[in-house]
Amino acid sequence: MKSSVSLRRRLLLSVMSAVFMLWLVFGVVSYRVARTEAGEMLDGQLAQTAHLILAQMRYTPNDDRALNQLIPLNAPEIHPYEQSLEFQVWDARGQLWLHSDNAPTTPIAHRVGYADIHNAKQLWRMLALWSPDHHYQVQVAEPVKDREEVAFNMATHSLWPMVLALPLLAGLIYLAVKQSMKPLDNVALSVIARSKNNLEPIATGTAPREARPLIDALNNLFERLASALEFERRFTADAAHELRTPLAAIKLQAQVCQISQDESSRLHALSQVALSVDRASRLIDQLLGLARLDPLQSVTHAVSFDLSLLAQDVLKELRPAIHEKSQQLEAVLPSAPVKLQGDPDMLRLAIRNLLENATRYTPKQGRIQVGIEDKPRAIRLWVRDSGPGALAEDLPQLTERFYRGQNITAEGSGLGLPIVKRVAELNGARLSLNNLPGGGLEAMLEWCPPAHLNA
Amino acid sequence: MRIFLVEDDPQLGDGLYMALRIAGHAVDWVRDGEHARQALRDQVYGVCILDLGLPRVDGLSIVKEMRALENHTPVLILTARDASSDRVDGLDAGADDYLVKPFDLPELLARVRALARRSSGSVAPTLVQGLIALNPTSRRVTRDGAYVALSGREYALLHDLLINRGHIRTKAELEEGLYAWGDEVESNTVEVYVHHLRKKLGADLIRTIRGQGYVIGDDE
Repeated sequence: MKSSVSLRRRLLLSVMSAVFMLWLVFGVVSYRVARTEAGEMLDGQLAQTAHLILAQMRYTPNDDRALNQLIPLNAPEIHPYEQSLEFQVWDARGQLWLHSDNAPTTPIAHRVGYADIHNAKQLWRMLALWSPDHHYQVQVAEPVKDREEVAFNMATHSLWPMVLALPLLAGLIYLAVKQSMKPLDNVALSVIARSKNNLEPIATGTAPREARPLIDALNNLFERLASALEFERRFTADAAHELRTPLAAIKLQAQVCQISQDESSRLHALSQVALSVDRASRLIDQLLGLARLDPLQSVTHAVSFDLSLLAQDVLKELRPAIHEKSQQLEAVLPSAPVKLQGDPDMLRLAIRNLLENATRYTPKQGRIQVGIEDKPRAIRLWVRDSGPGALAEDLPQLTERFYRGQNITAEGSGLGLPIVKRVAELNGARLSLNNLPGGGLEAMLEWCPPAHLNA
Repeated sequence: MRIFLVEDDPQLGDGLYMALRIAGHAVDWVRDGEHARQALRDQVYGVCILDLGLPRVDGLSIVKEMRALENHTPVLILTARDASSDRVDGLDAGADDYLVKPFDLPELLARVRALARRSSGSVAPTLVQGLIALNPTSRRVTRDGAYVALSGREYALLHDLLINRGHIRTKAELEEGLYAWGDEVESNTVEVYVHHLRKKLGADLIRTIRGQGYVIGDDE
């Protein structure tokens, strides 16, 4: 399983890495700026030193005595940033007048101004400057290494507050994220704390706006779950109640049998027991049928079959029952195969239910019509009875479970048409019920567009 | 006693019909609410047994309508639902008692007897008049403690008069209690059974009120 994304972690990581990146960029930039500034400052000091030396030259005796004087500079350091300077003072003729003890006796630089030069295996920063009267030129140099050290120290010291601020910042970000996530945690806790029977909607009052779509979706789900549970509960209760009536009849008839004095009423009671058991078994069969159909999303093993042949099969099975009630059966089935894709066993059950309904509601000597129509745009199968039909307000509810038309006195389980409807849904058909103009009810299964075109 | 039975389930209805007949009652059985409403308007019954889940008009509406029309016939409702709300609704609508399916036949018969007894204003299960005692549970009639054998209709007539003690019962009323729909009504039946009862239980038990009918006990 892919590990789930933690918003808190993601937020923390992204904010922290952004802050760290910025911090790094700022650090590098300010380090560089500080180093540049330190270099400028040291250059300024170099210039000041050069000017000081030139000013001193005015008071130097202007003869050979002063030529090639060595100035010792190895005094003890009084400040760590004190630079180990070298200098030379030359005149316009190229004679060396003064130089520091560590400086060479050849010119350090060959041109005026600032320059970086290599000498004695190290890098020097130097400045060559003429006195205003052009008598003397002073050359001052200091090792780049020392300068770098000062610049580095100055730059790094300016970074210290930033370094200290980083963990502090991280802590503050962590707290802020945690605090911001708290309402979301509260929502989660309130869901976790729910009992499994609690399908009340989650209160949206204190929840953050960002969590609203999730809460709305959850509430929507709760609502659908509650209605599904309510449907199941009602269905179970209805099923239990429907079974109670045949059970009550069985018990009652058995007790009637016990108190009956004569043989014929005993036999009558026993035959009633048998009828009630038949009814209870039929109800159980229908319930099991629905239970099998209910969880299906679609037909799992759709095959190609001939609807006409299937209808003929069912008619053959039911012919004796139709005969018993002296009902006339008119079947208009095409001789050419009517090809459909679907589950033929389910459809056999559906057609059987429709035909059983028709015989049940059609009076003796009544007429039952069965027909199939194979048109390019739709395939239709209809069963028409010559019974009392249904009240107009009952028609849409006849496919609801355990619903019985108010006008209906014939016994039924109240599950036949719901089963047909479910089979139709699963097999890409539509069930419609209509009162016939001359009396009676028409039940029609319609494939539109026919399932065989999709196959 | 004449009992009105409203039950749409053919086997359950048949069982109730047979059981009540065996218990000596005249039974009218209808299978839907609309017929029940019509019959209750035309006919007076000792007890009405009513299924709640009926086609066309449901049982609750029938009870409500009965009570609205000042019909005080005791009503026993049969329900497949054991939720207390159904029973409460039934009793509040005006039913006197209820049974949840599946029920016990002896219990049903006992409840029917109790309802008849209560509606007659008598609490004692045994009806006594002078030396005559009638026990509706055992259907035994005694005179001075000695058992008297009565036919089903003789018993029904005596029961009717004892339950309505002090009230004059017309011949037509007594006849209605003896016959259900479709029973062959013989002429002079009431006179014949009254004659039999007087022979078996004494001539002074049932008094003839000329031009009105018969009464046991003092008429008020």
